[in-house]
Amino acid sequence: MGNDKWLYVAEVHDIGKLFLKGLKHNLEDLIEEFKKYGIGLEWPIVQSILKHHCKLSPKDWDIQLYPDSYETLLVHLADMLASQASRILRKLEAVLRKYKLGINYRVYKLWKGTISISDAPPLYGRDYQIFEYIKSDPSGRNFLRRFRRYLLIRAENALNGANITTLYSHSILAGKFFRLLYKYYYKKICSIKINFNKRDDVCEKAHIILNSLPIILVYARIMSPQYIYRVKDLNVFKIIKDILKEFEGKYQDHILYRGFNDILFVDIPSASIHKELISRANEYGFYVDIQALYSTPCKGNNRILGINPRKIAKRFNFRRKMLPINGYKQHYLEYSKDKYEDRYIYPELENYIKPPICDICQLRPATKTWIDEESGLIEHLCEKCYRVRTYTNGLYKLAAWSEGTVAWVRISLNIEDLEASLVELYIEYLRRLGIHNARDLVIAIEKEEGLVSPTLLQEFLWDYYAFLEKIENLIFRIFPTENIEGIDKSFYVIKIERSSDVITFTERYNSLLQIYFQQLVQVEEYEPITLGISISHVKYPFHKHWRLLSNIGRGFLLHIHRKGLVEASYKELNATLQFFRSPEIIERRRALYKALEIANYSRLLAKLELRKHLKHIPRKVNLQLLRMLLELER
Amino acid sequence: MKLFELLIKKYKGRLYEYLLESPAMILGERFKGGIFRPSSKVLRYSQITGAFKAKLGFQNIHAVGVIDRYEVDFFIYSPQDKVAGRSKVPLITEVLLGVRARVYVASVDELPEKLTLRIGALITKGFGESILKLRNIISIDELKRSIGKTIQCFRQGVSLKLATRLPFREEIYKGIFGIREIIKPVFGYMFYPTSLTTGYYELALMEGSIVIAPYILLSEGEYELSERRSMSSIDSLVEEIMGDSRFRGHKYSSRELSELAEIYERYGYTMAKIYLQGKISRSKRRDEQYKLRTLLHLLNFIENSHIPRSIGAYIIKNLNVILRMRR
Repeated sequence: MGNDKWLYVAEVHDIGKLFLKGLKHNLEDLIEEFKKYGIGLEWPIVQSILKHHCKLSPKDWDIQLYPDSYETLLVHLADMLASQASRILRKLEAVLRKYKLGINYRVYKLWKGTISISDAPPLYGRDYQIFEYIKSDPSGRNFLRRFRRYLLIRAENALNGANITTLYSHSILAGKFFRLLYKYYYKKICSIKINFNKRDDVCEKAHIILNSLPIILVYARIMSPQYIYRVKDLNVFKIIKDILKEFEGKYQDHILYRGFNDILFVDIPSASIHKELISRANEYGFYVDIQALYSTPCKGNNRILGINPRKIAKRFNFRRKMLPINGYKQHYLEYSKDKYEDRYIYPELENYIKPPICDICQLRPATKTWIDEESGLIEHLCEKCYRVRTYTNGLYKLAAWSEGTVAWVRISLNIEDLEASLVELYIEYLRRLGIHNARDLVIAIEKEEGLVSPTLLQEFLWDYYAFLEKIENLIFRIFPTENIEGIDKSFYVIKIERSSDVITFTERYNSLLQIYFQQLVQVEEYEPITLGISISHVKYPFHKHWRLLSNIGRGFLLHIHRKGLVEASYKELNATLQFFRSPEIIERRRALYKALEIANYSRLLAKLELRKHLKHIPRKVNLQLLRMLLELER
Repeated sequence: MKLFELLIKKYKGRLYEYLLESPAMILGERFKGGIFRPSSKVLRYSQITGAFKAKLGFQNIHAVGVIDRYEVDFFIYSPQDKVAGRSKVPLITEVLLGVRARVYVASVDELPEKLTLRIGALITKGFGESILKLRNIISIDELKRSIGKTIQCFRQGVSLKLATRLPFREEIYKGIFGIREIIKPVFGYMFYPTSLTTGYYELALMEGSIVIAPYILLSEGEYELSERRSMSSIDSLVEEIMGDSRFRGHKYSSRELSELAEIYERYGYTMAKIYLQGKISRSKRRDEQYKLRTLLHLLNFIENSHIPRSIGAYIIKNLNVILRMRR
């Protein structure tokens, strides 16, 4: 390749899908037009569009061209890896004949439902724009920016039932995978003899390559062993965020997902980028919870890349990599084909520590002392925890609050539950299209290949991040700015002046959740997005809040120190909030407050009291939550 | 080191299983600097082994504990500065109330059927007094079967985690307590005393580690969130009533419940019992007698749970609503 002319062209490979109907989207019928516009057919961007598919025996109306160079072969491989719906399509095709599902060029968002329906791609009939664009941007660098709004509505696969991802995420991922293959495996692929004159040989070699290149799919969660005593100790979150952000910035093409303290990425054994993440985390004494899948991009005809290494390992019967006793102290991952590894990777741990031990992490000898200016208390810290304490801190407001009540608010996303709920939503989608055996069909697909691909995850994350933005605005609208300390867009500590504001916030959050994820909230079994609110005196230790907020079992958690703790599902939250504002409650509020007194002795008896005072309680109402809402309003 | 090697060689291949009950206990963690002192929810090796050694004077003894039940409360105290004669900043400490735990002990010497230990912090203030009653002596075969149960759970996809804290010394975790495989360890440190005033910290296998071990040392799911499940003794009582099949299918009139509640609240358990027994003897119908006996049973339930009399009366009065909640 030699230069970077190819680096961004893989993103453009499906541009035809924005303009043309039908399967043949590689513009091979418009070759004359290229010439008319003075575009060279040998340009990498044109090559990537024309030759990104390799069909063994295409019908007359299907794509005829196929990769005829190592570069176009790389585009084809990247397209295959990024492709969401190939497998689904194959399984669905048999069903299609019976059900006639039809075409919709608009994307269907599983968590939201139908957005719009169209029988034509967004730029249908405006072919001239393709050529104008290619001429103006032959490197492909501006493609995503320029066509973003169209790419975001065009389904990658227009077949109803398979139209669940956009062309935008597909194009992004194809670009990422292309650059990864180019960077790490181009030489290796070039060393494979391929007869580019023979379609069969190219297709076969593509299959072999994807079944032989070693990759590691890594899900990593940075964990802090530090007990948080002081505001300065909250630096751990900022540091973790900074580490992940820095890592993502450096290895953008590897990253499939980045959360609050977790990340999903593709590692290549020769690159071992995980080492950098682990050693950065270890610098601050953090340990890393790692799930690693050692494999190749494909297993037979099935794509390996998914979002949950543990589930993929189970699907393909990969065995867990067992380590000898001393192996637990081993710091990095070692590739071992078709194995799965799940462990915590700690910084250096000594067998014995002579006192004093670090007060904060209790994992290393204390070598530094920290004297608290206010109380004069002396703490013994290790080098790493001292480093955490002295990291630039922006939490000035929290440090100044010495009295009053605070609410710690955290919105989190559980990737494992997200995957499970997306599968359920997909079954529901197919059912709505009239496929009665949708569950069997999806289970059959799931056995061979994960339905939820990185593309689908990417799509979801865009909406999730937009949702978080809205929540941030909401918080700043409800609470005074000087009372809000934002640790992250999904994590806040708020000084509470009126506890009823917490109810207002919960109500608005619930409304937003219903708007942004109207289908997702209907799934009963899984609740991947969780809101946790933990309220206490400002001096109540943070790690008690964190323990609750980092392990929320259901969609909503409310904890009021010494008043109780409740978890509720999305449906319960919605029903309880509606019931809370109903005349039934408003009319009896005084009697209900009285009933709450008994909650000081027993939460169950408090529920009983509420039941006695209320004539009709709708089915999904959570009485414990209702009690706590009443407590907050009182 | 082979599985149970040390237990077989040195400790006659058996583990004593004690049932520990303590009204109030503070299992101090090494927390400094804060005014809030949480209590550990784990009965760790060093703590319980130390307590046994102190009580019995045996040196060759190893013990771990698994807490099954507790409630959380808070205790505010203010340590005194002995020199200045003034109180320091008041501290709030978490207290575990109504602790029930299982303790497993390997000992060369014979152990008593019953003993009292003092465990944890603020012993001088009366915390930590624990009564241990011997429940069972577990043989190697039983322990191996217990490991089999764990393996079965893993196969069924049930996530089991270590519910106690052990030193990361193979001879102890494997040779005595039978941790066969460590799948995903959580590491920490535990204090190892070498004399009354000296000691060091040794690497420890912490609660939450995923291991293949006897089922009795493990717990399902999120062990650390047990306070989420912890409830007041009144809640526990109400739950017990709700789940008791004896109350099913009976219709209690509000009059009879109010009467019984009033007698109990005013005159106490004995009078309420006499009142009920009188009613039973006067009653001619068998089903009525049976129903009244269930109320007697309820009365015993309440009395044994040591809750305030007014709350007990409240429960009696609202029995019908409680039973409806079950549905």
